[in-house]
Amino acid sequence: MTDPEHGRHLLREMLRIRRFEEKCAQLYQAEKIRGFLHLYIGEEAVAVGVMEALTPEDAVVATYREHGHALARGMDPGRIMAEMYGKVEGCSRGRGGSMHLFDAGIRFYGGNAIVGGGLPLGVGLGLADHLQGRDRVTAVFFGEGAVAEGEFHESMNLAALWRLPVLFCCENNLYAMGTALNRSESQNRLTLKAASYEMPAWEVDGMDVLAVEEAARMAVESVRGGGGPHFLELRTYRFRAHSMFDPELYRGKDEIEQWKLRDPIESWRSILSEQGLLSDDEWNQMEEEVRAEVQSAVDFAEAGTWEPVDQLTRFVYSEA
Amino acid sequence: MTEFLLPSLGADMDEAKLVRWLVKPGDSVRKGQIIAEVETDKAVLEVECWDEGVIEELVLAPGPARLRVGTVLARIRPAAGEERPLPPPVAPVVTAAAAVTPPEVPEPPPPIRHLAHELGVELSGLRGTGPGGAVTRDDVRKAARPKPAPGERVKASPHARRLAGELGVDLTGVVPTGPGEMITAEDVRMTAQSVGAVLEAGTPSVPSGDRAGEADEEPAQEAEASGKVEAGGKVEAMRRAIARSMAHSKREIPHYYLATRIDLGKAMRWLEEYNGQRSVTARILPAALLLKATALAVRETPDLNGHWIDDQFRPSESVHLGVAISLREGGLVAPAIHDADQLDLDEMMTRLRDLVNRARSWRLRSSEMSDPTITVTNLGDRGVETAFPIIVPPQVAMVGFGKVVATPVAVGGMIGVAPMVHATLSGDHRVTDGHRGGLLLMSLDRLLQKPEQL
Amino acid sequence: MTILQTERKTITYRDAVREAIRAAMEADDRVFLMGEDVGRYGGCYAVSKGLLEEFGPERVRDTPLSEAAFVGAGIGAALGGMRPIVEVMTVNFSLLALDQIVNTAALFLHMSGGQFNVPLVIRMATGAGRQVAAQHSHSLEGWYAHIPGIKVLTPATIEDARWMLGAALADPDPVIIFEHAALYNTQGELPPQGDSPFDIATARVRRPGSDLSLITYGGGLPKALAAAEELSLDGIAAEVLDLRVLRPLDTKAMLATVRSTHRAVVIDEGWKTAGISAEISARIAEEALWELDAPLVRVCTEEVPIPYSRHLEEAALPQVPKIVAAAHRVMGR
Repeated sequence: MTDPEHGRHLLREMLRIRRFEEKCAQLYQAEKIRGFLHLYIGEEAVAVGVMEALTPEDAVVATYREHGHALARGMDPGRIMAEMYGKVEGCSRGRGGSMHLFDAGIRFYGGNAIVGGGLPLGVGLGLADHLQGRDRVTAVFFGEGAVAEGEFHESMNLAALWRLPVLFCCENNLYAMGTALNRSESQNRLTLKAASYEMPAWEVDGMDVLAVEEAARMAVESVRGGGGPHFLELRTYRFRAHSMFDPELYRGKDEIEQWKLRDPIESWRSILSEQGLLSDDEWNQMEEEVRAEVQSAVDFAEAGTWEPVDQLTRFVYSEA
Repeated sequence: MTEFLLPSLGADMDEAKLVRWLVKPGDSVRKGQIIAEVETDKAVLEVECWDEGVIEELVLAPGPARLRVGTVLARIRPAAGEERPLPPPVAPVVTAAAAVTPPEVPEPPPPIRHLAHELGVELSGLRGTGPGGAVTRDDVRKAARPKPAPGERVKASPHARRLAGELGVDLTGVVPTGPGEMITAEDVRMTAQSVGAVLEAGTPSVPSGDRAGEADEEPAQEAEASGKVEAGGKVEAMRRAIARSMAHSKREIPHYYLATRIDLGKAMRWLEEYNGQRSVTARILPAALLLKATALAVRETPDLNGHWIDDQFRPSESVHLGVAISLREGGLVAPAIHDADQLDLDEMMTRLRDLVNRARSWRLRSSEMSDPTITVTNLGDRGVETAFPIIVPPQVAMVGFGKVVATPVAVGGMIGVAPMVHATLSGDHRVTDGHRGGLLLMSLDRLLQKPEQL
Repeated sequence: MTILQTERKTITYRDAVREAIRAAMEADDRVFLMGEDVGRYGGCYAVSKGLLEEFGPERVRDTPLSEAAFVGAGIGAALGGMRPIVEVMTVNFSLLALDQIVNTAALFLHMSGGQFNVPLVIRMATGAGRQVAAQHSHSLEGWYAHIPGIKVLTPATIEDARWMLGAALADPDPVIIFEHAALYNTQGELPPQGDSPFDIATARVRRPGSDLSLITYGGGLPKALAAAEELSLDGIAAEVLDLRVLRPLDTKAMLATVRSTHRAVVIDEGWKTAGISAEISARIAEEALWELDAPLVRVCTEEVPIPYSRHLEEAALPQVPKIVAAAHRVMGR
């Protein structure tokens, strides 16, 4: 039985991501946000569940679809939104945008937009912890598309070989942009790939926030305890397009509708309601609070300023 | 825009009348083209222009007015795309004949001279790029390359262009030695220096080997420093240079002086006949005759031809005849006519004209300034009958001519009148004595009696 | 200035690099070495020979043949507080790690708005000349010099081999050190080093001269010096500028030498097309055109993959006679 408060917390975290990103889509269409915008809608349970298992000392390496991870990890929504606006008040001073959210304060190492590129980085963070005898864990998020990359295999092997404290979180949403997993991999069982590196690997229902949290807690505990790297395949689905401009020729509407029936937020809300842990009022209040938070993030971004162009060449090299 | 000024075409030409224009506004002119005729007290002379371009304006019309040398006669627009600011005004400054430096560059060996002759290259103007500044075959070949045609862009390095602008050097007159026959900064500098050799008066330079006792000698200065010369100071400096050099000569060189009278009757008659068949510009002046005769005479008395360096005489195999040219602002220069003994009279005349023109337009080359092996001065124009010149160190002799005077002479027991000239020799007693010196004057006399063989 | 090392000694370039690694590891616990065959094998070029025994397998880490992973791990370790020296066996294999170097190491500081600097040092051998054929003979340091966010060092002397590493480790940002494989056996005197930080920002004139500048770096330096010596017999005084650092380029030094000689030959073992020699030439043309007294000339590798056959390989690479000929060309004699 779920702790009521924790249950509502999980729901609220997922809702924050959902409403924040819905706002993002709207702002994108209003041309407030430009470039690429990859929405996490549908996959919220994964980020929220895994982050629950991490401590503030742990590290997170995410992908270009990382608003959810950043929010769940505790990054300030205003600074995320300002980043997407390209304002200097953004978490990366407007240098990164949607795909490159960074926050040293919460050990959030991006925002990495090359598929597979974040894995070696995560291995290195784990190596540093190993060499310095710290019991920190690095959670590396990547999509199932990364599994086809050499960097995935090299990193899995290296982490396992050196027994580094890394949690590999594979968000299997079935499509690498438009490339379906079953059309790109000879072996679709991703856990088997991990297992081939002698790495504990579990398949998890990524639409079930509690399942994700539980799996992540077990894995993190093992990793932290010296069990070497672990692999979680988090089976999920993105409800929206790959990015903002995507006619979605690669999948049918009915497939999307089928998955939407398993919407992680709706599912978890139903469970909480059924168990009497969430009243309609509480839900409405939660919605209102989240709406206000998102609005305040937008206000913050709107009020933000542009970095003076004479600062352009900063941050290429460290400043003395 | 370039200004075309009335040039000084003779040692004593201060003014002239404009007789005739040979061009009209809008005409293209080439460097070296004869564009006008002027008349001095002595003759009608053709004047050439030194710039490429188009005649923009004929400032003065022909007429009886006597114009000062330096008067603007016309304006010439540089060829399209070659617009250049007027070079900074050149101050009327000259150097001393005494400022010549000894030859440091070895004489080009016969094969080089042969090649130069074949290609029609004048070695005297060449900068050697070989060891010690020796002229190489390549240098000769490069110099043989045709000058850029009018309108053709001069190939010069960026650095050369900038320097030319700074020094006021006209790139069309620069001999390229760079890769792909491109004008380099060094080439510009050399051109500026040859101008500067005239401009920079304050550079009296005695041969290094002849410096004993010359503690007060100033080091030679770079002549490239600037095209902007302050007139007054430089004239003074030039005078000082002459003073130092001549004082040095008088102090160090034990001069002896010889004089004789030479009958120029045959020579003058021959010349008259010779010139009668020729155009004005092709005519030969008696001066050319005297120079050629001197050059040949010198060849017969090699111990008068060369330099005294490091307490010993170094004879020269070539005869580079220094010619003292007085400048209208005062002072004089004595640039060399190289290999004067090898030139026929026409060539000698051409070279003499060229040298005088360039001396007066500050276009002398440094090599011309530096390597005379014996110098000639002719003061006849000034009414002088007999000159006793002071030797220009490190040379060891100097020949002087006075004016040609119709003189009663006894010939074959009869008194007649003949055009006589006083020829003198100043010799360095450390090298020769009066006996040797006398041989030169005798040779001179003999040679001038057979002008057709000169 | 205190002289830390007073005796001059003659050592090889290889020894100098090893000494640099050893000293860095002794001085700072955060420093460790990782790469293919750096441990038991002793390093492909025997640079790290003996270090495993001295420092143990945790700090001298043999890696699998996974360039992307171990270079990326170096980045992560640097972000995690370590000071890794990552050895990529040769620049040829670094192409497998190009994503990590270019997309991660070089960009992290900037993408994060200044939050995450990457104090990583990557060493790799570069260059041709040993008949190892096309896939093992690249000189791609110019590629890396293209990328803002990394620094590119090319030690060409014993002194630089010995001291650049320490300075690179002290640098807060990613530094790539290219060691030309032909240099490892070169011997030289190691001059004493003061206690002031070793300069990894400027170029050096290795031989002064007034007639033309030979601008080069890395493996080009010995050739340029030999060419300068030969040119001196022809009465041409060549100045040899060792760039030392390809990014950021010491433009000032390049301009200074050109301003004094007015002629330049750029020697680069990379290809001419879009290479570092093009960059050097362009900067001179941009900023010192009016100083030039002759067209710039480049002596680069011919536009072919490096052949195996010795005579063809020699013909493909910049060689002393080519440099001498180029110098004569710009001198016009």
